[in-house]
Amino acid sequence: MIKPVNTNPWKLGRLAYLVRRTWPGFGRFAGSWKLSIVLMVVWAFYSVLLVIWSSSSPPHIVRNIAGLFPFQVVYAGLLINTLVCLWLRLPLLKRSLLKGMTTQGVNPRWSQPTPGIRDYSEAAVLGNRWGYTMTTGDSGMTYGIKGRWTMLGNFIFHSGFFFIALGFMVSFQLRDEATLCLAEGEGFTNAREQFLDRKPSAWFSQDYSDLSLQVSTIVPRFWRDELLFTSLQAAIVVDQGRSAMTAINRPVPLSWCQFLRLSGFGYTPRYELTTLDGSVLESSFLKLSVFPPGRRDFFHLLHFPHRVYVRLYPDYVAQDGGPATQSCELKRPRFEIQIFRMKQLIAEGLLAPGESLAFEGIKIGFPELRYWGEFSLVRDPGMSLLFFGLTLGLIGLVLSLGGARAEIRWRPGHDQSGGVLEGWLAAHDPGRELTGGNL
Amino acid sequence: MTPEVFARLVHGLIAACFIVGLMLVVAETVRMEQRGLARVSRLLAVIMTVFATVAWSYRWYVSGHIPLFGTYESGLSLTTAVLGVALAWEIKTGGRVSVLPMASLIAGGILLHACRFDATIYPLTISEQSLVVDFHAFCAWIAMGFWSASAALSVRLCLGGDDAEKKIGRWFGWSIQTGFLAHSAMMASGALYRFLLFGSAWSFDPMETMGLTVWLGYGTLLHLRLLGRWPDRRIAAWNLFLFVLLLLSYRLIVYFPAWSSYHILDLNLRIHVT
Repeated sequence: MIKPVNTNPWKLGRLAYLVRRTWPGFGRFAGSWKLSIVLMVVWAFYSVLLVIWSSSSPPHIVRNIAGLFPFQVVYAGLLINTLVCLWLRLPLLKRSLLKGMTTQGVNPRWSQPTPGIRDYSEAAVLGNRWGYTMTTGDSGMTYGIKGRWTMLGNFIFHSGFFFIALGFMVSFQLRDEATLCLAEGEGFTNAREQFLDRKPSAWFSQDYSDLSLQVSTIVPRFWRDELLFTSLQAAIVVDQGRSAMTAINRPVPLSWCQFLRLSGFGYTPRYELTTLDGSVLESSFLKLSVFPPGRRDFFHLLHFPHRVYVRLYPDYVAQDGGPATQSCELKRPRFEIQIFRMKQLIAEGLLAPGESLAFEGIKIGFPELRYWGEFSLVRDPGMSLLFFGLTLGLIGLVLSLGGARAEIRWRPGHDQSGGVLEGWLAAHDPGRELTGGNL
Repeated sequence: MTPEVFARLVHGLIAACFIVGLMLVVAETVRMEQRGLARVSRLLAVIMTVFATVAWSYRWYVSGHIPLFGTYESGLSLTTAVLGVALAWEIKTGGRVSVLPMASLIAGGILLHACRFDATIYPLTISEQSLVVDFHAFCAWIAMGFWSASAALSVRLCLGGDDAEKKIGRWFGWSIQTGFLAHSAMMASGALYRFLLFGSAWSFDPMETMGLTVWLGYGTLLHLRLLGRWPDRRIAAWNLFLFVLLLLSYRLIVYFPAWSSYHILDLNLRIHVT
């Protein structure tokens, strides 16, 4: 025996009744242009507050403020308002797309005699000049329509908002970001020390073990002797052999939603620790933060208790009794190093590549100098939706430039006296005077 | 042309903008004969636009890049755009609906403000070397041109009678819509370039937020005009308020702390590495 599902028809019926009763009121409220104005003004006011906060708070604080509940209410309110507005105006959209006249039986807004126009072809020429698409109907009536696509453009523009909102929501939930540190000639091995930063998404952590990335060269260019990049590019090899160039403003797409770009730069010297007779004890490339020139960084020797502080002068010059750099180009690099054991300064010196400094029975030198690059890896499925929404918005705006839908109709007069032009919906341009000579 | 001569050319342009603007305002106030006024205003528009275009082109030539780097260059570009749109307006309307008086004053004001900033020529940093950013800047200039035209028409609507509303109404609506399209394109291209540069499309940078505020304001204007059927004179008053906000949104960023925005492009105001 099948037992009936315990649904209380009274509850469902009451719910349906309540929805039907409140929907017209809710529809009028939620689809009201006045509500649109209020919400836009509130959002603009919130934005002014954000601008004021920007002048005193760090950017990440401002971003957090923009995601708070009062803002979310406005965002959601505008989306609901837009959706209901579009829904309520669908019949108007259908009507505005019609090819034929929609104003039959309606009194024209304006009418004007056309003494210089005696037949349909001349009327069509005039209408075309005014921007109307003229048609002669089956009954011989000549009519013109313009702005047929304006309302559609309006719909498309507002539809873009939903894709933009969806794009932001998807991005917020699924965005995965990693910052890698790779030197020239180095390949990505998914080692922890190759990651400078990780910002996994809220839902899953991206696995980078299958990322194929090899840095070939990094090429910086500076303007004169200023700390001003005019170019910073990296030649890389991705996807098991595809060569690409990346720069700060030129990401390389690894997939439809994953992008890699060069986002930073530094120097990678190779240090070499040797005995006094030249046998190599330690040797390694170091990704030091010694750019811009003047910055100091340090590293620990692998098998010795010493700590080495390094400053790099890319284009060394002696100035005021001390070392300085003329530019950021690697023309005459010099390493200013200080070697500490515990807190005691053991040795210090200024070394060119190939030179070495002896201390406590060993020598240290920097025979090689390369660049390292900071690479930003972003996986964000929401961006495609967002840019699709922006594109829709722009297409919609272009379509709606034609102005509101307007219709005109030309009727021939009696006794060859010319005709009458009648118009609906759009204002007649008072500057145009109709005489025979105007055609 | 030496830098000193160029500087004199620019200062001359500022003076010309103000003088021409005031002349035309006076001429309209004393109701100079319509056709004569139209001819004079078109001639002056041509001369000033040529003047501005020469200055802008020269700056492009000597700097090696489109003048968009820094407050001085952007001011020069905005001035040229405002005057260019005003000239195009004169031609399109046959001088019947002139925006030149107000546009001249706006152009002069923008350039006067720009001349207070460092005019040193720097090469473009990496973050400004892109066709996307060129398009973004171009949309910003065109938007300013059309918003200036709409502001000029708003002044006419506010000061004129019912005749002004009949005469100007269609052009007024068109100027707002075109300005809104250019402004939207500016924001969209800015979002795209921000994604190329930083991996995300929006960051609530003060420049982005100010642009959004103005965009929302003009959005309310369009809704009030198209749906609320507000008379054009009321719309004009609201439009003038929004235009002031627009000017602030374009020029105020340089007074923010250097760390708060990546839109501060004056090198003497920040260490601009990339």
